[in-house]
Amino acid sequence: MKKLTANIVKFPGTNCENETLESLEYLGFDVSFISHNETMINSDLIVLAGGFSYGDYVSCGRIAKYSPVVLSLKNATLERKVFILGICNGFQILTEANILPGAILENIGGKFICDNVELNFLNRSFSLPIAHHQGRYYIDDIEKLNDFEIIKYKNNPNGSLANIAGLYDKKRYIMGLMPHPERNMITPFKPENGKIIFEFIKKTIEKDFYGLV
Amino acid sequence: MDLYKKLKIEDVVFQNILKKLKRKPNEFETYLFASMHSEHCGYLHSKKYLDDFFTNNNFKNENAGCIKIKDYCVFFKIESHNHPCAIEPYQGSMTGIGGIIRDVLSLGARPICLLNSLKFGRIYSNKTKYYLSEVVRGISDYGNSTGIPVISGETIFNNNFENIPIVNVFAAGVVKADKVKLSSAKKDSLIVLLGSKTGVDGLGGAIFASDVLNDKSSRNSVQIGDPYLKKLLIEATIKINSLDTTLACQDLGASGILSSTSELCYKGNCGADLFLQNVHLQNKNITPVEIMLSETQERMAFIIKEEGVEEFKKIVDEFELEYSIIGKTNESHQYRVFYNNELLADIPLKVLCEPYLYTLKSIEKKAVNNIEYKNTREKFLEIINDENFCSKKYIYSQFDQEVQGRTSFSQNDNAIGVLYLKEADSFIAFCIETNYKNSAKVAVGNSFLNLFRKLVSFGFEPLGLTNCLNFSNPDDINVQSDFIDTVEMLKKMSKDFLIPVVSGNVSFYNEFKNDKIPPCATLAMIGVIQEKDKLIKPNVFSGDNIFLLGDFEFKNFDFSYENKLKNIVFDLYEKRLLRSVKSIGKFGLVGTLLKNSLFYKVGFEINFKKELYFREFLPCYILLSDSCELENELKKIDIPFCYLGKYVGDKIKIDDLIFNLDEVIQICQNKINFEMEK
Repeated sequence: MKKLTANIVKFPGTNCENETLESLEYLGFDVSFISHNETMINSDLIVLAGGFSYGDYVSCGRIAKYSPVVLSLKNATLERKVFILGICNGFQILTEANILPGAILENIGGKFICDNVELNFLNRSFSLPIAHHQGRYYIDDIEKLNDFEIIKYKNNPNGSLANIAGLYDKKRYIMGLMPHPERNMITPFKPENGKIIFEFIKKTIEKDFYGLV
Repeated sequence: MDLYKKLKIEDVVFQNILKKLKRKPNEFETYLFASMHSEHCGYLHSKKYLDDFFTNNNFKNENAGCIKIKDYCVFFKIESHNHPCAIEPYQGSMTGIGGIIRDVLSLGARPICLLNSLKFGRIYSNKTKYYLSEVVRGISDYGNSTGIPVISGETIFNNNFENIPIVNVFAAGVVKADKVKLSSAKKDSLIVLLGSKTGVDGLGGAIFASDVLNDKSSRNSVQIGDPYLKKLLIEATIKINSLDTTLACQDLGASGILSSTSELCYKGNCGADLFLQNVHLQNKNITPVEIMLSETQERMAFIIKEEGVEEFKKIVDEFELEYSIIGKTNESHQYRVFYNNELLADIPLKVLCEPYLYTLKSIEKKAVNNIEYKNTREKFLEIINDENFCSKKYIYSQFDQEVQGRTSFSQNDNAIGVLYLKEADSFIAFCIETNYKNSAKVAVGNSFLNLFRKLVSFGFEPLGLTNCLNFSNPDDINVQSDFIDTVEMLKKMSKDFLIPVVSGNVSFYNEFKNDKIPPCATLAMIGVIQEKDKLIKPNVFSGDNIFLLGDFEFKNFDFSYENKLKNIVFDLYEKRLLRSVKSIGKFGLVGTLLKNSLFYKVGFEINFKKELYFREFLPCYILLSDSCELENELKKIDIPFCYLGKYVGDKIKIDDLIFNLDEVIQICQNKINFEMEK
């Protein structure tokens, strides 16, 4: 079978793109970067990687949501099957742009937090690193998340509502994560827990987009 | 009052200018001299003593030096940003990081990690809390946004630093050896300025940092950082430096356009004509002197061939940056500055770039003996309540330690940070340390040895050293003497150990009213493991035996002794007989063992010599092992060793004293957070 393809969006200020690229290549994706001005989306997976898009001086993701690539993402999911993954700043952009519901606010302590946290996802427990200043998930009505898979913190580090660390919209194939799976993939002496996320995505694409089991 | 006096040029320095220039400098030129011949730019009090360090001659006169790993160069350097941090700690620490990043960037290297050494007053003081939270926030905002991990560091709390916080920052960058860009201009090329519009922030920063602090020290002298712009500038600079038409590169730090362009040309043995009307500016009201001396951040200077402009412009546009062509190099040796066709300065570069150098005096100083303590229990309680010993998680959890995906081990109260350099398939370890509680000579010797031993403990071969020498007023003969002792000791140690000093920085005038800092030489050492499978993850398990390897009464700073110990440790690692190894630092044997207990959550019991429990810098290694063969192996060597006890259970037992580990953890983990939130 032909390799699955992935695009990683480079906003000015994105800074986790290289390790994200290597992680996906490691799992067999054919990966390339695309510009924030790109409007043609034609890969199986599109990743909004971590960083500080446009400096995030206003609020995280507030400027990026007006970029051509994000505006065209909104339509992309309607036209064809594409998996959208937002990691950290990417998750912030997805909520800012209303591609995922809710909002991501400043951490409850008002400080940047870099740490390893325990997570629960699809009945599995594992740890992943977090590194953010604005990671407190909030939504006015939690019922809106009924159809979502939720990635939860075991010990809430930032005050997120209902311990939410990430969301997965099964119907539209959109995932937002505050933790960084790409940091626990290819680095020696780190666990390979990032695989749990990325392999889930890969299998979902193979199964749901290409009918492979 | 003469202008030169107003600008704080000393008489002897000015006389030297007159003599060499053979005329009186005009007003504009006097400003240039005041900045270039300030302590901060010209190293007037230190330069004479910095020339004959043991180096590896890898880019000796560049912004940073390097060690080579296979086909790659790892450049690294430490710099101080003490003065700006005392006035404006948030912007001060931000721009400290910004400046040190540019130093490695200007060589064409991609910045791969940051470290820091921070010194404040005691944690109980409100001033300390203010400085600590703001300095950490500055490093956090700048380092995290530019995407460079902070992988190790130290924080020291002592009354000496209450009014004079010491902020030393370290950066390392990597570049393929054949892609290194030097800072020597070539003649008949263009001088191009890239990045921020020049404004009046940080004006006179070099002069400000060359004097003692006082109540009137100006906030205007502090630069303002923009990490987002820096991130773009990093990416653009790496691309521009990879072009063949780019001949040289230099960052804009202290004395802005003036020092960067003059140094580029002086090193390249060519002259320069600058046209200040071409500089892209924040506003039109800025004067020519201000343009020359502004320390606006996020700017880089390049020397490019004329035919390279198109390609240069393409990269600039890609990153939506701004640039201006501000001058040309030529074959003269003159530095000429024009503003709208008016010639403002015409100075031989040799006169501009070679200031008067002071000769310092030296007086005899004695080493301080270790203070002996009486009561083990009291000393133990003192240590666990000392914020210097307690967990620094409050600080390092605010730094992104893993961005770029290279970090194998980071801070987490570990002694070192380790990156995996995939380009060269090797591990590099970084560690940083300052000691000041002894004579200058012994203190820096202890730092050197402890860094050496820390690297060896993790199995790393120490390969290079950088330093940042922080002192108070150099007019004081005590300070002069301490400075000379420090430098001589560093020279001796690095030569004996064959560890090159690849770069360095000196910061004088760390003084506020009656407060002076003690001599503080911050050292950072880096080590390498080239065979990937040789790195062993340190660990501690219940049941591990604790041995002490080395002659604890050995008092010399001796290479052959240290090298012997190193080889033994490496050999035992090779034979897989060790779980982990620790060197013994400021908190002695018990402090070191306790750090493991806090991290791995396991108690220990030892029964040894009381007088050695808290002695600093024992010339020994603590070996941990579950192998019954270790003891037999140790018996074969001619270095003394002894069995101390073992890691076990949830208690700390020292002779007949017993402490509950959980309680100790509670105190050590929460102390700084608790004080900061008070």
